Amino acid sequence: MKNITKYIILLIPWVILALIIYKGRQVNDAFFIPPQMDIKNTLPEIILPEEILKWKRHNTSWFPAEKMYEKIDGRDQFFQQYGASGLLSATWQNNNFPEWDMLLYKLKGIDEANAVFINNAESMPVKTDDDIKWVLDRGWLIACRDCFYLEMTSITESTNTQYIIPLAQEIMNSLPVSGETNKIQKILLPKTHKIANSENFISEDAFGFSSLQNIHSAEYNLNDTQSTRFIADGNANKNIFRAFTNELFEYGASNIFSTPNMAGGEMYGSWIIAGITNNKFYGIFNAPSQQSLLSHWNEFSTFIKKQNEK
Amino acid sequence: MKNKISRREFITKIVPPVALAAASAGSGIFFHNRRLAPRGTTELKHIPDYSIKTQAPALIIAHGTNTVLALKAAINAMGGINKFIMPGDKVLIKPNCAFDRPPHTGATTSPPIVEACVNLCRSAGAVVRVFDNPINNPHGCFVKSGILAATEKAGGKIWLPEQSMVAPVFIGGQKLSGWQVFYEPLKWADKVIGIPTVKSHNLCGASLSMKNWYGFLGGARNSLHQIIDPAVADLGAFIKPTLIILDGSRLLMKNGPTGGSPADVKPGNVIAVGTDPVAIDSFGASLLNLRDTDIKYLQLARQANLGNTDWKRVSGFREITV
Repeated sequence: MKNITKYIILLIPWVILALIIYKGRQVNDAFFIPPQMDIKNTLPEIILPEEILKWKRHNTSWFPAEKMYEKIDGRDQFFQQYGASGLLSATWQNNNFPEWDMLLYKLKGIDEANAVFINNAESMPVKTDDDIKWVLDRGWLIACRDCFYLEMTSITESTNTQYIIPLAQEIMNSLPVSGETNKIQKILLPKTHKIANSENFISEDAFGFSSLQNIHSAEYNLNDTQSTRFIADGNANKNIFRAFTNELFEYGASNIFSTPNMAGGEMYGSWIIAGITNNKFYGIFNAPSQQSLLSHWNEFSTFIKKQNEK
Repeated sequence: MKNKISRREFITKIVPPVALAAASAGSGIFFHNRRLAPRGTTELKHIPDYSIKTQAPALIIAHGTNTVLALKAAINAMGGINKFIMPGDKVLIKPNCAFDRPPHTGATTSPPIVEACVNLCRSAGAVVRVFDNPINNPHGCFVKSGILAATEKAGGKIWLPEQSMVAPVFIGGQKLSGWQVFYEPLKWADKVIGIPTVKSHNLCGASLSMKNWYGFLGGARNSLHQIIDPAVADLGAFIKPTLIILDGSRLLMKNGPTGGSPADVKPGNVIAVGTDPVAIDSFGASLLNLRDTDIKYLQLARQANLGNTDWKRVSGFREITV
């Protein structure tokens, strides 16, 4: 018995030595390979079927916001701007068709998803089925529903890729939706002179101003001059206007003009103005001249005042 | 008192376990942190200058719908491949293979250009390997981009990145003094040829030849995003390639570096070959409708005397059409 104890004691340092050597040899695969996470544990609300309409899902990976660079390095900041909580990457395979890659983003909310969709769709014709909006163009499909934005890319370049639409629809239909309605205050962005499909939503740092948050915007063409009109989400207060004015000075704007409720000037070769009227903070950005800035401003501010009177 | 042991007996019994414990602790210290994974910036290694010492044109631009022919014409105008590659040279080709995207998305270098370049180098008697450290899974990127098939078709070999290839290397830049670099491929090579694609980049405006060297970096290179412009300029000074081939077969005009929409991609039908990274990147920027002044790292590189942004005025400049 004494001998056994002695041998066990003698063995302990060797076991420790073996463990140290073994541990020292471990290579951290995460250095190269994106994390393959258990989707059910990381994002319970995104659970896609393994198979949809004979398409089988493979290589599924979830990249949380802070790891999105491992999939879309260099473009991750664009999606983070819209409050992306992460992206789900997968490949869909079907024996009858080429393979398609899928990137499914979960954004902060419906407005953010819509803004990402509009940014990517640009001037392409948008189709709508119930609450799903989508664009299909030569082996590339994007869709948006609720707070989700879907992007699918075929591995082959082809003009005839209509066959992917049912899969995309099923993917979008299988996602849990909040039932939240689109908050975009279209009524406060006038239809007159608005350029089609130019609406946008910017959750933070709109036009480079940290004071401009949750901004709805659209492009307008008035008397052959184009500018961006914007309005802040919800009711605003004087603090927002004050912060904007401070930034205007800090950023070195020139030709600054201001009243207690409005301030504007020239920055980087274009003109900007913003003001507050009856708790609505709104403005004009990217006007080519002071004259065009004021033309846009007069039309927009008159519209806001009329809306407030209603 | 019966159990009392003598001093000699005590020493005899205690020495072996103490010796074993000391041996295990010593082994542990020896084996722990053996730098299988990159860490630290001490003992920085240096990489050679891969440029040739004889004079060559700084920039040749070749236009043509057949960009493989345009590449060959540009190389001929540079003085021929034999001016740059000698028999027996070990040539490392660095395409942009950053994403597991198919070629038509414009996010990676075109496979026919990689294939033609491998063929040219092999015809000069070189051994050719193609390397990149992609953002996504390396094997998946080389397969989906078509670069694996193109390389192997031309008789070259793909060198997939492995952790053991990484070592701390002296960069000597303004922001990057040293970094975890894929040192093994660079140590192996006698000559280095960069084949960047032409694409917009969300953070630095454009991804061209100097940005392409990011693919030699290991470690937490995403942390460089905060200083991307000086970091790219530093990389432009760090790698002194034998040749740069700017692949303008396709131009990813927007939503780079990943791309996606076919509407963002347009045919470029142009190849630029040269030795001046600033001139090449300034020309590449013009393809994306950007001025060199729009791209901060180009200004930094020009200020660091890495080349000339006025690409039409560089030595030996010619523009040809095939």
